[in-house]
Amino acid sequence: MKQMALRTTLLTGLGVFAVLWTLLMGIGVSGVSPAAGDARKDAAQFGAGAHIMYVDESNFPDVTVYLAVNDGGGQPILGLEQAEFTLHEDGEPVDITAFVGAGGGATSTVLVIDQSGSMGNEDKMGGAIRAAQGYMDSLNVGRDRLGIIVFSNWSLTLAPLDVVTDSGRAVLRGLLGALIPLAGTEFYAATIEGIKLLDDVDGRRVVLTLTDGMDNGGQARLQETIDAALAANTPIYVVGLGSDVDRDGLTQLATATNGQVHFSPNAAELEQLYASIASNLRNEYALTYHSLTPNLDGTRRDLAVDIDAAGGNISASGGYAVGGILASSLNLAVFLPTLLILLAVLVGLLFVPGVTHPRIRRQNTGELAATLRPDVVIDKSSEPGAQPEIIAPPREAPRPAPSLTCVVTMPLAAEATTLGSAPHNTWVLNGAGVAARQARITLNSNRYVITDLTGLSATQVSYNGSPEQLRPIQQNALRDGSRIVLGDVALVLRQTPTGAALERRLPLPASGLRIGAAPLADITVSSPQPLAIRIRHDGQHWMVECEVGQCQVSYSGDPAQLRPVTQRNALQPGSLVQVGALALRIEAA
Amino acid sequence: MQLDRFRIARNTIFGAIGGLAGWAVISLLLRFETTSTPLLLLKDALLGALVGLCIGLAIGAADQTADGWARRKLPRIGLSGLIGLGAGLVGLVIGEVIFLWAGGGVWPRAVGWAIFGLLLGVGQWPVTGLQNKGVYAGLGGLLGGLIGGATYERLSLTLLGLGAGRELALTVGGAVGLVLLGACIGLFIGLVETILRRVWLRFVYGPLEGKTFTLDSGRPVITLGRSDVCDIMLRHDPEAGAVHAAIATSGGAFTLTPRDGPVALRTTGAAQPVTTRILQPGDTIQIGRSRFVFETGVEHVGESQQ
Repeated sequence: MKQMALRTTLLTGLGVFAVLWTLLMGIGVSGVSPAAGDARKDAAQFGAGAHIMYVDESNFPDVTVYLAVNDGGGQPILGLEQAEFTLHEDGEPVDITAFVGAGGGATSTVLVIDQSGSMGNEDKMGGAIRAAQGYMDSLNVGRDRLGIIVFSNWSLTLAPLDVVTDSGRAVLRGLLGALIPLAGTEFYAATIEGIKLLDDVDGRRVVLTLTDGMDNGGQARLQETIDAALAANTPIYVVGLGSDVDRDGLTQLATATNGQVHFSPNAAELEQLYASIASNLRNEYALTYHSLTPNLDGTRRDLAVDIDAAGGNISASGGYAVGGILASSLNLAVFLPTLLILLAVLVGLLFVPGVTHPRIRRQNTGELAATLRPDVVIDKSSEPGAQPEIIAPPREAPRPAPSLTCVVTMPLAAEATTLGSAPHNTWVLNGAGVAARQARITLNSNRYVITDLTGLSATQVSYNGSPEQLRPIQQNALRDGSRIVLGDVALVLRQTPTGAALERRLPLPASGLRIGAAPLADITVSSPQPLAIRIRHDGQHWMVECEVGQCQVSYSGDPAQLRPVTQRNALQPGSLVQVGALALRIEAA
Repeated sequence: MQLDRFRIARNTIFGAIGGLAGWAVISLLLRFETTSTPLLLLKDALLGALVGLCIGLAIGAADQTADGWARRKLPRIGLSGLIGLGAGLVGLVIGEVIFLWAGGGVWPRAVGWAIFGLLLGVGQWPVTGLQNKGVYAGLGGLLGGLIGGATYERLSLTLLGLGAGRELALTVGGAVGLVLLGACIGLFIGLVETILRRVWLRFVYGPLEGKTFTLDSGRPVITLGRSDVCDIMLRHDPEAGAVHAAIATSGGAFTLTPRDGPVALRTTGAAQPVTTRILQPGDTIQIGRSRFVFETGVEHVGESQQ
């Protein structure tokens, strides 16, 4: 169960990491929302200067920028001409394709009015009605659009969004005047209704929403409202009336939607506030241009406006962004180096040891392989006297034996070494044409000398080892590498600082070689004990088998790893077998 | 539980190469500009399909070729690519819709890519026929997509903010972003699989040394041997039989049976030749020159089945 807990912890950790990483990546990124300039909390804060109020990119790549230009008293400056405006996108100047001066544009407004029970106090309802009527009266007949929603526990669309007419205005004036305070405050739901009313409208639009209390549903729907406004690119202008409002929530709603927030302590000031909002909205300048980067690549475009007016140079900045969750572009000068560098790094990593595969072991892998091989004798030399153990019989289909060579090394005796086919020789050589007592090798003042004992010069020697130099001898000096031929047996003298030995190379037939004291052995070695060792291929592997007596084997070939074997052991090219004084090394043919 | 860092690294690098290939393909093929939303969604479908195809192929290749390449694995890798194609198409279009609806930003992009990763990962279920693997990979893809998508967004914006120019920022940002995306999906698929899996074989010696293979109760028989038809190919083991041994699962127990060759098994002490044997956690098994350990994430194999 601990494992389960550990797994749960690790998985939770990964999930938390992923979310935190995403949050970290999101820090300081303004997103692709059609952000205008900085959100304004209060009308007083956007006094003198120019401000990008709204960017309409619904007809992208044609983009319309709405600009408020105010004097020192916060009043709109009217009458500026197109020539006085310079517009930059990402620092590049763009041509203004359409220009609408102050007061010349059309606006769409949805008024959202609180008629909850608390609006009955201090003539709040009356103030709100007068403010709404005043706002309606300031709109341009036949051009501006207006919709009205009133809300308490529910939202009621008093007027769907439509172009303002004189007769419509008269009807709405009457409807507004009949409003009476009722029940609770479903402020966010009503605001979302207002956003929906503006869904199909182009151009400058705003939801102007008024409340005097907390939303009955709390702040749960705040984010939902913000999301809806951002998705529709509709700014929310918020008016909080009295002291019971949720200032933080309302401020957040306005800020996040690039709207404005105004807090009015009493109803009497509402009319003036609405008039001011209407005036500012009506007197915005609308600058339309064609984007220099018309591709929807998901990136933000920075905007900068300079106005070279009589009162001096004023400027505004802002930006907007477009959709495009994954962009693709090709700049060969960047593409090829990026591709090659990344590809080289990644493919290179695949081949670095220790990254996707373990480092190559430096130890002797042959010996390691032998220790657990199912058909191999387990070396138990650490337990003296223990019987080696065969842990599984070979059961595979027979495989052809690889052709190998057996190199037999016969050390020379200190004084004299006799060679011949008869058993009393130091080394008995089994081969056609070998005399019973054929040759003797002696050490005379640090030099080995071979003497033919047959009297017929039957022994051939090549002093320098070259087969072409072989010639019959009576007596001849030897050195390291000298070749001796007796009958069809060829020997090479190997001299080392510690001694000398005769080397004989025998092909290893699949039927195997017998080594022992018996006359029938292929390689005879004298031994005080009975001895019969066999090297053969068992259909799967080369094996050394101790039929009688024992030998020593090093699977790896390292003489230091020689271990006694009394039954059988696998061999590989390079393996060493020691039988008495005789050393046999297995080599690839 | 034991993290297989070689497999995780391999998955990560393969995923990254897949992402890079996807980026290269879309850079070369899909250069047309879009100025309207319907066209944008169409382009997203193509972009997602191509990137998904590349990452799907790469993830499939990483998963399928841990023990070597064989022609018979091609259909599965291709299937992984096709599922990646579908997942990318659907994922990126959904992602774009979320992206547009939310007005853009890091989260919508990350969520869009997470959906892409989730679908891509779950696709490993039909690819391998292993339900567990689909669950692991889906979870991995979800987290990986989240991280990769967020990083992609941030990197592009940062490069743009550095004044690198839109073309350069989108090219480099796209390359690094998609490499990260593929790498994250690969990394998390590997990581989550090694965290969640319950039974696996870990090779400690031989040509597959260092690699692990997840056993799943959804696949009744796993074969090991030198032949290409084996589920775990011991191709470079000269002493392994064609189909040397099989591990069958039923009722939560895993049974080892020698087929074309001898099998030695060591629980404690010395290795013994075995015929048929129910594996216990920690058992060391030798086949040819390959040696591997049967390991579980819980104390007893019997508990590994829910």
